[in-house]
Amino acid sequence: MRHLALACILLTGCGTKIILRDTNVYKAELDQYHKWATAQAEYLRGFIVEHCECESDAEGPQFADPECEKAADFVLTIEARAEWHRQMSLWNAGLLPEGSEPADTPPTIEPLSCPLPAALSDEE
Amino acid sequence: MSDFSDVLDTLIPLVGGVIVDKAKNEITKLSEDADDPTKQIVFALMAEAVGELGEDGLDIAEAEIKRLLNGRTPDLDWASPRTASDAVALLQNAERGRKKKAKAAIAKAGKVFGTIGALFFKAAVSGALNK
Repeated sequence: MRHLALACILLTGCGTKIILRDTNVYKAELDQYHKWATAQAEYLRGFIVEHCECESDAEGPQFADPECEKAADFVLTIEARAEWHRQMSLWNAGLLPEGSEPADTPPTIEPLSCPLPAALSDEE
Repeated sequence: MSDFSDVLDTLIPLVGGVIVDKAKNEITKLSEDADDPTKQIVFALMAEAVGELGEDGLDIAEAEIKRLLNGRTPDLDWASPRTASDAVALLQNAERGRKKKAKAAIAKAGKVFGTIGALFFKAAVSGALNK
């Protein structure tokens, strides 16, 4: 009984909360959020290419409209990092097999420029 | 180095050479510190907080950076997606590091158990913890 009380104090008193989740639901959620992010980035890239103008004399990354610049930053970040973050979530949850550990350093995000650099999937 | 130096030189007519030189020195000291990836994230968060939220941004950034460095969830709505991604990567890598340490401890304990058996195992671990 004394040990149980001690364990309760240790678990609730300090440190990060540990959450137990159903593996399948957790994976389904991750997959859904990943799909939402990457699909939106793909559509957003299309809109940026179609509608955003570049200005050679503009300050910074040459987008004429600052909203285009912000949107482009999201596209480049999601394209470069979404998969790595997803893999890390799976790895830290113990849901990836040994030998498939993600790299320590997340992939480099392309610098912001107008026109947008080609999508990573186009280069592969 | 020359990027920010050129920009600061353009401010000399407005704020004077002494202030610009002081700013250059401070920025150089900061960039020397920025080799460390964690410090890079801290600086990026502080710069973005001030850019997005003005002078109040510094206090907000400080509070959120403390949360981040303590392994708690920071509120980084004001940060750029790339800096927010770096911050989350820092948390994820820290979690991976903790798990690796835990795994290594389990493996070490298992090896001790295999060597000395159950009879002395508890005493050995208790002794190690009390050191």
